[in-house]
Amino acid sequence: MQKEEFLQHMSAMVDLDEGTLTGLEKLEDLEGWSSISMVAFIAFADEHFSKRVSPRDIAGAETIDDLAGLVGL
Amino acid sequence: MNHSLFEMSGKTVLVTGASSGIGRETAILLSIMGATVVLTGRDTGRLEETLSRMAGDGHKVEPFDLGDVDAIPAWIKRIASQTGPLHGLVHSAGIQHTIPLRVLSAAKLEEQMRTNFTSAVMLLKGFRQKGCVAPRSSVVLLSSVLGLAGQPAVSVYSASKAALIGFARSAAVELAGEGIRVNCVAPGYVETEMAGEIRTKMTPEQFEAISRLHPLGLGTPGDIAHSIAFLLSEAGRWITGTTLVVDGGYTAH
Repeated sequence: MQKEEFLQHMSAMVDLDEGTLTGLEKLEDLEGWSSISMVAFIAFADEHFSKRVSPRDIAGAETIDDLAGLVGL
Repeated sequence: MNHSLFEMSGKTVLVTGASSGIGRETAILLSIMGATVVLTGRDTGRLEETLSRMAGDGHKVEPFDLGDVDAIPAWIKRIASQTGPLHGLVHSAGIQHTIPLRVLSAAKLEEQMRTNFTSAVMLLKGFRQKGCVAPRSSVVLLSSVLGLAGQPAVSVYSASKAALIGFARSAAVELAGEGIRVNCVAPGYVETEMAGEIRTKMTPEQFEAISRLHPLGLGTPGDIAHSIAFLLSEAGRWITGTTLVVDGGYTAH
């Protein structure tokens, strides 16, 4: 998966329109980032990257790009 | 009290999901109660491991992928031709995906429904075939408290487990005349490998919150196996179409 597609998925996870995320956004600044988004990200990483991401990994991420790093992008 | 009502000697029971957790524990318990058990699951090695822990002999390991739902009735017919008519069926195979609606795909939805629900319907369709089923028999489908009460991110799992409860009611009425009882057991959070896998996706605080929802604490596979065995046995002969909730008080709140 390319970065652009990743950002599209992330937009859905934080309830934003497609094409609005650049990757530099801080998670704490995103209104749609919630505990449900975290669960969604874990399921997404598993389904699309076969990566096991723990809640602790996510807690250590500050930006959308940090999340991309967790799945190897 | 007539203890022989709990006797399972001379009875053959097919157990799905017998490679781990509740299915494995049920197979072991039924063997101790005297039943002959047909173990199924996808992983032969793990089924053999269950077999190694069982009492008595004559049990059979029959690996099968229940995802191949259309093939289930013919598969049951083949098993029954080797074992003789079946007295019981326990459907313990299941998957739980934790997926919020915002990232749910139809493919993931259908995978869960197929494994948890469609397979149950096809198993019962196969089980009731002439020559496959003994004159007095009992079917137990593994539902869940999540089929009765909600939690976030498990809506499709909940739906698949609630579907089993509705299915068991109508199937019980349809099959009563054929001497087949159909019931569900709805466990709360039981410490199995599947539950351990789900736990890795939670924070310690989230897990603690789930624990607190069970006044009697978390369950063990044995807690569920005992209820399944009861429903399979003659002690449960007047019970059909119902759901036995075994949840340490989860739904008592």
